Amino acid sequence: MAYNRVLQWSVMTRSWWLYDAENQCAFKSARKIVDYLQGKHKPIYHPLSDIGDHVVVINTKLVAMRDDRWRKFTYSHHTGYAGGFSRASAWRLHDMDPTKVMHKACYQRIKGNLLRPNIMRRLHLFPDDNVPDEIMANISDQIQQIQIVPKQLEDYSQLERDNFPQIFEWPEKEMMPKKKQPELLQTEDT
Amino acid sequence: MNVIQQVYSISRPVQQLLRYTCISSYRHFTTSTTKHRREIIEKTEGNTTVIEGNIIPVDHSKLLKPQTVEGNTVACPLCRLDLHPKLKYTDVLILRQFLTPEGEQLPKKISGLCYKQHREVKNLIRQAYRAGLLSEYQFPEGHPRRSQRSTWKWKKYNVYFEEEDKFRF
Repeated sequence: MAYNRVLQWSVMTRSWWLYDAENQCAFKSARKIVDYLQGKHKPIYHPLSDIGDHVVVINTKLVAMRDDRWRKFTYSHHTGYAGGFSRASAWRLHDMDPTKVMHKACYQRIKGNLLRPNIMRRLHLFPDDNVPDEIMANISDQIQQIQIVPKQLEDYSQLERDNFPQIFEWPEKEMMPKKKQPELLQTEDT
Repeated sequence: MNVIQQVYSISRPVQQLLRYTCISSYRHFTTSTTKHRREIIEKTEGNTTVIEGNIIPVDHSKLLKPQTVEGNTVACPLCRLDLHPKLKYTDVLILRQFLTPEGEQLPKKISGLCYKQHREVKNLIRQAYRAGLLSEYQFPEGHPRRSQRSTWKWKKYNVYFEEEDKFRF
């Protein structure tokens, strides 16, 4: 009973969520974050009832993009004057401001009306892990990451590597590529 | 409108299909697909009629790869495993086995892969280098091979790949 009562309180209040954007796709994670900003994860959602939550996103500098999107994906802008068109690729925009790609991904996902600027004010972006204590004290829960962070080869221990099953066996006669043979011969002579 | 007129009003390919169903009369439900995996048999004993759909056995021995000949395996090591879900670029411990100590891919003579799998593994290894998962392997000069640690333009940022992606750059 007490649990249900607390759930009801949390629906009415503005709770704070944490999201780690390390090695996560910017566009896919924006789709999830925006639901929390607008309050779509709550059962009493209505666009005019101002019910959204705060989301704190950390490590936006380490955000990932698919394949060669860093090079190919472009952001265009026009000032309205003649010759005012400008365009920048994603990696160049990320160089200028490491929170800009995440900000634009969330901004474009929300419907374009007068509520949008107020919704975007609840999004707090940080390029690193350094978050001020005033904000960190509010956080109550964490949003689950979308993608699995891939494990590097360095992270596996030697015991894990040895126990892993081998797919094929090397032939009895050792045949190394031809490039490396002269180097090996020189070391043996000296 | 007679029954015969109804049958002739149907388009010609449908009539051909109906002929293969092995049923004498026209029915309003489909009994079998065009592949004819089932043979339909009608039996009449007095007032009762029995319709059976027996499965026709098919030999796929010509389509299958020769897995073993005289006890020795013939198919390449990855075809033999037949992994599903497919091999990904994040499966570093498997990809490591197809690499030399300097981080280059082994030739087909040693690994024993077929041409198709050799080409796919080549793609996956390059993706893994791009994502910085195999940064342990280094050039003889000392710096890591094609890792994300390079500071050149877009190559310094994180990246991920899907199944359809091929390494083009």
